[in-house]
Amino acid sequence: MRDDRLDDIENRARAAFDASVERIDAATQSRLTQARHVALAALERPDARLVSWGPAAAMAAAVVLAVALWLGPGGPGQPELPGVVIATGVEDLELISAGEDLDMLGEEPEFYAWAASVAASGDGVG
Amino acid sequence: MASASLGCALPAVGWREESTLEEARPVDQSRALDRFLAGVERRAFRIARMAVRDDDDALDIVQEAMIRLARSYGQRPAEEWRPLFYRILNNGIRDFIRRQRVRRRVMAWWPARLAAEDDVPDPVASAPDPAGSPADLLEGEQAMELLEAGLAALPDRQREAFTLRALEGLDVAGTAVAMGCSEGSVKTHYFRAVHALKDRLGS
Repeated sequence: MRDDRLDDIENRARAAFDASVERIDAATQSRLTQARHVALAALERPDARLVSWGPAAAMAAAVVLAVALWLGPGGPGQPELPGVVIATGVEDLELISAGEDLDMLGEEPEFYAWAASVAASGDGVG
Repeated sequence: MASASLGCALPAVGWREESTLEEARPVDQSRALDRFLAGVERRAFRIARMAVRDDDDALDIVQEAMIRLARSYGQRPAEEWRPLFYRILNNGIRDFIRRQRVRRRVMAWWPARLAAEDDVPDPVASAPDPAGSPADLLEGEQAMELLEAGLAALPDRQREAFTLRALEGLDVAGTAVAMGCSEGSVKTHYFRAVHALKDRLGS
């Protein structure tokens, strides 16, 4: 069962945020509207860099990809280094580089209970 | 037949209809994008404002995100726009904060600071719409200040996860797309953010 205090935090935060959105002043709204119109005009002009360099960029990307696959982990160009474990866990790198304290998940049984309750409720928020 | 009496060959009706449909698609896409951006622009502004703490900078970031979405993903199905837009927005916020940190380090070596270029805000233009009593407005602003302070104290990824999940209501999969990370990472960041805010903001 989810901690009611966590639901309370989410609900209060959402209420404060929604109220602040409603309080946006007229000048800011006007600038947002102008920004939207600029973006819609840009819709008529797709990324010019990709359009003009399309074929050459595609060829270059294919060459880079081929080289990366050749030299990448497990590729035929990668020398066998005994005892070297190549990290393939992108999630691990994400958490390591996030600059947060690395609490071992095994010490956070609350996390597993919470994750299970969220999964059971269908990933709903609140 | 009309074409025979006019003595010229008119295009077939089917061809004209197809041409009309082809012309209509870009207009439909533009209208769909307009509706989408109109629906997210204010919330996007608030998200950027919470992160960078300046109205003008937040507006620039939001405008840039809108333009990038239109240029790079404007032709994609509309249901893909939301997580993509928030990804572009988060990247813009992150880039801005990074540039700001570099700028501060450089300015620390500059003894003669440039004169402040802050414009004096127009009290009329910046007045909020009178949607409630002064007491209600004050309470709402104080709540928002507390939330902003709490979010500002979080690591970037925790702030992003909480903003997207709790404030914007994106599901885990959409948040993962927006943050450019795995769903497992989203859950971890979000879990830590909620607990950190609970400790900071109290009950």
